[in-house]
Amino acid sequence: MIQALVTYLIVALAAAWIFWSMILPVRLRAALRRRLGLRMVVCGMLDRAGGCGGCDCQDCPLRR
Amino acid sequence: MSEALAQQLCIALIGNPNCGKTALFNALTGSRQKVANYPGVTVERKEGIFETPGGRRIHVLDLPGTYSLRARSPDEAITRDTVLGQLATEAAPDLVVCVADATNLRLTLRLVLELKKVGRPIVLALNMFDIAERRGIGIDMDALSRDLGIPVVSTVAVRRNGIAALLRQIDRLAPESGSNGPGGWREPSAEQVRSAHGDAQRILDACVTVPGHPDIWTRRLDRVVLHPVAGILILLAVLFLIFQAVFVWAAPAMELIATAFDALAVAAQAWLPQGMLRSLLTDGFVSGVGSVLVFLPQIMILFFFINLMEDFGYMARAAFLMDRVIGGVGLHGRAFIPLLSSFACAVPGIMATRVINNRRDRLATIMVAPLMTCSARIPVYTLLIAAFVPHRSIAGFVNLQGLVMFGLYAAGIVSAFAVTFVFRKRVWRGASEPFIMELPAYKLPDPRNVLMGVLLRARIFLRRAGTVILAMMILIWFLSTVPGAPPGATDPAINYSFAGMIGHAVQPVLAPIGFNWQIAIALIPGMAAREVAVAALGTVYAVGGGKAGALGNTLAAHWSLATALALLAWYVFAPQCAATLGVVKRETNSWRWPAIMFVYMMVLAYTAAFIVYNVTTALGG
Amino acid sequence: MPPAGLVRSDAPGDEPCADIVQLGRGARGIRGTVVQVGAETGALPDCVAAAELERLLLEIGFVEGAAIEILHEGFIRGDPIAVRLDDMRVALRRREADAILVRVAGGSTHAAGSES
Repeated sequence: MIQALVTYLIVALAAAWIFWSMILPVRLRAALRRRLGLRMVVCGMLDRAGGCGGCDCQDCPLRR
Repeated sequence: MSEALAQQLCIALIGNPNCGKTALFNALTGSRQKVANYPGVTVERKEGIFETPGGRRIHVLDLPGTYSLRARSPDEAITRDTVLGQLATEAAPDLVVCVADATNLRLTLRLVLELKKVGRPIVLALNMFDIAERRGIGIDMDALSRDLGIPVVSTVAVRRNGIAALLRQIDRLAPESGSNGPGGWREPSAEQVRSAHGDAQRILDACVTVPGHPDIWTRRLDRVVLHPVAGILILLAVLFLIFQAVFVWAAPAMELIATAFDALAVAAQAWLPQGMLRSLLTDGFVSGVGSVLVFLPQIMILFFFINLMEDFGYMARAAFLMDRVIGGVGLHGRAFIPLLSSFACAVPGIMATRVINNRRDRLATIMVAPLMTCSARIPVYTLLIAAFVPHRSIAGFVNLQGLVMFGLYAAGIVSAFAVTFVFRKRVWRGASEPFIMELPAYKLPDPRNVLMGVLLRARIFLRRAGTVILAMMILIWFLSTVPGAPPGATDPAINYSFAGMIGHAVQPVLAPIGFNWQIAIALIPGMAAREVAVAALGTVYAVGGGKAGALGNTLAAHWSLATALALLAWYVFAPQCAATLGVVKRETNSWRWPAIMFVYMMVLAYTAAFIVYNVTTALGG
Repeated sequence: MPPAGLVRSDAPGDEPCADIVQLGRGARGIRGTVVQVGAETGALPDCVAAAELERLLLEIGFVEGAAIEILHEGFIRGDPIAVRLDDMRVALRRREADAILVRVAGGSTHAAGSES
């Protein structure tokens, strides 16, 4: 029972992650981040031009 | 803006291709760099961070190499727009470092003259200064600095020489951060380019003395390497070596990774009770992600060779030799490396398309890369060929099974060329890009640069495998496991899952190409990785463990020859790989290209399987 | 008449002037000076516009007065070609090279000679 619960949780997380980072358009994601009050990631030069969300990189060393 | 940022400064590295710009970038930033794409375009963006002795935190951008601010391709447009401060997502640089190959100054001087019109502070870095000295090229740096009106420093990026002097100049010239407005520049006319060449020539005459005998080694090497016959033989030998290395040298490391994942699966089986979580770990994580991660050694070896060839200066020669061969169908000379890599796996192949600067050429290569027979198709091919193609010789020495295998490889290559041809003729009908390319002087590759390049690619691949690919594997596992079999069920569990339902639902569509519902079901987990379909077939036919021999016999008993051949034809073309589609999405920053890829490959696969099935049936197969 | 071996035998020979050839029709080994960049090529419709090609060639260093020599040619119909351009080497297709007119240095040309 607990196994199944954990499994469903992992699957739901994977689905949510794919939706968030791949399916959601970049601009919508940026808008959502702003709305949710998530920290605009300090992403070097991008930061000055309005923050992450313009960048679809996933490779940002400062993101973690 | 936070306080930490107030001290930050943005500089951009600009220069001709092959001027050692990336080596200088590596020397400045060390490992503190990241590679991504510019939003919306398939152009690689390299950014790094370092600190100057003056305590400034500097963000440095390695711009795509260019001869001019006037842009033809998207990557050149990126360079222009960044320097001019016209890119919405990019702050205008506070300072521009123009990197020059000290042995070949002419074109850089013209670029500097053009850059000066933008009105930003510029530092000229004469890179590869040691090579220039060794060749007896005399450069009067003070005169050069005076004539150009900008500071000039000499660097040897690969040995980190002159970096301190460059940093001093950056500190000295650094304006207040954020004081950078849009730059002024207007596209020069042909006459202006000519007059700039004249100015550059005058400066060159005044400041640089070139000995009578230029680079003899490059000339001698080129006489062999670019020879119409010897050159091609050398290229084939190099390609063969790379091919061998990717398949043979990588094998022990790949086995090690596979063994480690198997051990993980065993450990999971030992620790966890029978149930869903255990199935997720063993079937989803281990056989899914493991089957992709196993390609890491191949990717590293491949990029080792690519970086080596790029650093040595051979890449441009190879493109020269290959231009006519694959240029006829509209592929760029450089496309052969990504296409070759795709025989191992389309994922590194698509990642390797970054060696192609032009966007259209790069997209065309990305689109056909999955048609190359990747190694994940081999298990499927060998299973079906062993089960259905008689083991006999034709004409005494040609093995029929080998012939079929060869035919499958050839079908992939031929169709890739055909698809490119159609793409270039139908989709991008515009003027074909001229092939004009500098052939850089040969130089010894710098081990540090090569290694850093390899590690960078490995990091990117691991991040992909850990995010996109992992998430997709989990979803595909979910589809083929849930809902579980009802109590007392006799058929294998996958039959009752969503994958089973989808399989049964699409079976009528697949009937005309001779696929039964078992195949339709196996194709769905096969989306995770092509070879997983073999295991899935084993599951559907309830042949334990997917043992190839037993499974082959079962299939031979259940399928007609026509069905087997149709499935082979299907596998040549079908977009049966979620990882590839995910990587295409990432590399092109849009769903459009993976969607187009999926549709065109699906249509090809269906058509090919349809023809093969019906022809074989008509012939009494 | 240009000396034998100056112009590739399969190229249609309608040079405006005896010692001036289109670079795209030059044989391997010819040496000379660029006299015009952006010449009318009568190119195929899928080629880039002439003015654009002119600027492209200028930007990579094909400029009037530059010393030039055809060093190598590809193995399929001698295309593309690799030329020495002052002190650098550039590869380009013959189709684009046609826009460059070269005054061939008289006498010192050997048809097969990449020796120097």
